Amino acid sequence: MLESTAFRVHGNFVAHIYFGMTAPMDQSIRKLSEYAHQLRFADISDEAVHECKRRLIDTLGCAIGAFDAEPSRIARAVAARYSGNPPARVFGTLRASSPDHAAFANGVMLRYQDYNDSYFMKSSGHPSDTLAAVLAIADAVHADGRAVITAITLAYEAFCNFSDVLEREQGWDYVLYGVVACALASAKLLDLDAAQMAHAVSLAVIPNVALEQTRAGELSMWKGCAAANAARNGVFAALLAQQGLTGPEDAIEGRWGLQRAVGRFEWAPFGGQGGPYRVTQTHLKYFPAVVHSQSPIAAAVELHGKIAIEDIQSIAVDSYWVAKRYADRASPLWHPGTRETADHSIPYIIAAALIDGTISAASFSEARLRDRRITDLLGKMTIREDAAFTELHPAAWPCRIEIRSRSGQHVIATSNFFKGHARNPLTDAEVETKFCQLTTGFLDSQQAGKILAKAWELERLRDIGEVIGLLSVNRAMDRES
Amino acid sequence: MTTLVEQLSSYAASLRYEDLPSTVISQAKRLIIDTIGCALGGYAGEPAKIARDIAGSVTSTRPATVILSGQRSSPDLATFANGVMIRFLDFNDGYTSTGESGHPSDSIAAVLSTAEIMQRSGKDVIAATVIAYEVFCRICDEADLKPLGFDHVTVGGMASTAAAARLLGLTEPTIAEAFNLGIAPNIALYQTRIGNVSMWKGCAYANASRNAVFAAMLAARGMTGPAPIFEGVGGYFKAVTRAPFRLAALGGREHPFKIMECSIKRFPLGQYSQTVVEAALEARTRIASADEITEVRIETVSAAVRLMAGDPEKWAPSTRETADHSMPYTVAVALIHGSVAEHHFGDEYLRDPKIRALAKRIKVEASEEAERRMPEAMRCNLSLVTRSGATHTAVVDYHKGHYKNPMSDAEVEAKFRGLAKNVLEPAQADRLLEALWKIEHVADAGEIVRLTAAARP
Repeated sequence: MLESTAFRVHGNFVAHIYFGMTAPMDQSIRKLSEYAHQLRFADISDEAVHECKRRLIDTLGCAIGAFDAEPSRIARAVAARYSGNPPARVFGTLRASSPDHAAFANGVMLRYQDYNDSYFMKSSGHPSDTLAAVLAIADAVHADGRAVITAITLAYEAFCNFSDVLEREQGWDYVLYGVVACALASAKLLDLDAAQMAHAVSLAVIPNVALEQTRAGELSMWKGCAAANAARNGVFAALLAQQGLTGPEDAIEGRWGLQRAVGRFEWAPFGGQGGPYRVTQTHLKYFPAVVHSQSPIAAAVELHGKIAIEDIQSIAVDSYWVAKRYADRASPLWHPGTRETADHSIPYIIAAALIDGTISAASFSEARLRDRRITDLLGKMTIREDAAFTELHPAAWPCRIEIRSRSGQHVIATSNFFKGHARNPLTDAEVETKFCQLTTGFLDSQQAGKILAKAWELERLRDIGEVIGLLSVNRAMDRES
Repeated sequence: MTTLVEQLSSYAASLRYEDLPSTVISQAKRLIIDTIGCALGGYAGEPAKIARDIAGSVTSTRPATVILSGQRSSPDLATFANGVMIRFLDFNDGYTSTGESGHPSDSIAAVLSTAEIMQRSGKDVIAATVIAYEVFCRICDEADLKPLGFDHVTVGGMASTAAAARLLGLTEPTIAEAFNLGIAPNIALYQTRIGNVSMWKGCAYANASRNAVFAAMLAARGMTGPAPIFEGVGGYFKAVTRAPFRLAALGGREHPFKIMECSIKRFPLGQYSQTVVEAALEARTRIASADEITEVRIETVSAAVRLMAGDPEKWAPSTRETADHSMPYTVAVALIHGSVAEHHFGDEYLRDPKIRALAKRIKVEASEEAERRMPEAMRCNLSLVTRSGATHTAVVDYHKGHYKNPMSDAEVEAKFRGLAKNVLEPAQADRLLEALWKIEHVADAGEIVRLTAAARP
């Protein structure tokens, strides 16, 4: 039922605002916004609550770790010009900005290294990108830990449900999932009613379709910033809806709505409606390298030390479709000259892991890029696609590495679920280790310890600002303008 | 091969005020005045109030001013608030082509905010306005986005990006990055204009301008964006227009400026209904009362039929936004009341059974003759059939304000005063007009918007 109420504004004409629990919206918007409106902290499983905390820690670590990246500096410089009422703070500097610009700056930092979590279904993405919006709005409204957990759970449901039902073959960038997820999570934190939430979704969908070019050809800085921009516009959509702005009723299903551009879809069941919450289904990255290298790293680490590097005669790698990218031996992926190429090169990463027994940021230093031992191994390596593996992916991430030595030795290791995969999860201690590694040199160990302690107690936290307030990088702040 | 972004950035970087013919400068001033007038008229609209509330929640080290309220906000949110006010009444200028159509004056919101924070001159404002119009109209000429499912504000964002990047003083390659950053994430869906039209209708272009200003500011700080954004495998030509296009020569030197082909609206309603309402008013003078009308026959261009009478909501509008884009509603109002003004979109009119009954007696058809004249004219042939069986016909090719039937400066002023009357005393409106006619002599463009705030009673 639609109730329309008209009232006079200062001028001599009349505006309309729709009230009531049910907005006259299309089914897709209604289902999503009604789910969002009814979701309560008490409904969320203990497991999902715990996974929210782990992702909060992981994401904050990623953000601080990318503090010095050039796009991080640019985004902070823009955010520093503004102050919101209420304000939201920028990680690292703790400068007060507006919620939308804080979401952008924090979003750039947490995503820039491509080290935050990921989700793979019909299409893929980094659902933790949405924490940029969640934390900016939560900081602004002094949300408590339970509200933050509820908002994170909700953002993941929206983002990952899109990934479940939409193929990424339409020529569009998937950041739209993030805009919608961020709008909903922000709306939840702002305590909007179901009708306002529906308008927030509509206002998120309509103007924020993005071009795939961001991921094509020679990559620009925007690759790491597009999701942060989605968070910025998701926050804005929620703020507009909070003030009573209305969006198109059939933004998703209408004749000229989203489905016209991306194809028809229907939501899969949402978390708690017979299935697990999706926040428990995403994968954390343990090694700082492209996600497709995570299983190869696990196999290579297993083989580390079994055959002396100098004795290796050949390395045969079997993988899923990603192997096709390595068909051309002249490709930079076989001869990485920059850090960005190296951390996306599976052969380079396997070689480094075989030599070192692990992968860290140091694996991609200038010196290592020129390391003869690595380039020698690259010359001995082949990568093939195994059709059976392609069948299994992305439910599994199979990789098999077979090494033969000059002396006739023969060793094989196979990995299906990389370390950090939802089915091979990091331990809480490993989540902490990653956080500490990322924040070393930016936060002192006492700060890091306090953040971890508060994050693990998130559901008892009175104000998320207590965690955000600890994220101050205590050096080089004089260079920020 | 020059990319489209290279062509646009070269133009945005190089067009000089000194190269503009006096007719172009004069037209730009008339449109800036008309646009600020529309913002004053749209001030009290609910979306405008919302946009100001949000703009008012942010302060900036380099603030931009909100029209009339004088609030100092971030340039992106001031652009949004001013843009919503400019567009709310749908009374600002129009450009129509066989491709896409729209209101290039919406981009003046981005011009004013970025000019203010950079303390640019009035001449810079005029040059940036001409650039924005040129970018908007030339791209509109090349592709109709509506049948592809996209909204013209996608092009509006490009126009605002050009103006903002220019006023921020960016170099040509940096302007190119502003385009890359402005275009990639800001593709908007056409659904905004369909069915029960929401408040977003009046906010969509303002939002595109908000994001354009943001993109230009990122580029200014050194951010890089995806390229080539039109021609790339995942670019605009692939996903949006599904075919490449090239632009006709941009205005300057021997080439005409598109701003000269933009029309000022006579009535606060969709531009496709301007000639229709004018014809209705003309035919009305020949009958004693609207009660005599048994049928209204309208023949005009097919786009007008599709956009202003094409879906059921347009025949029984329940919101202001739907009504001002409804040909049957606005024609019925014109025939009954002898004018169409802002207050005719109020609730008591929306629910008036007399208007609804007359709207039902309207028949709308696309005419081949009108179609042939597009986009040069928007011909409307309107006939009233009365109880006595008589038929009274009026034909309008160019509404008053159309660039081929232009308003005089005095008429532009009269429209401005009418729009300002609810928010300014007549003497204040006159002072504001006087200052706006001298805009090319303003040293600090921030004065333009600050004047509107100072004029407030």
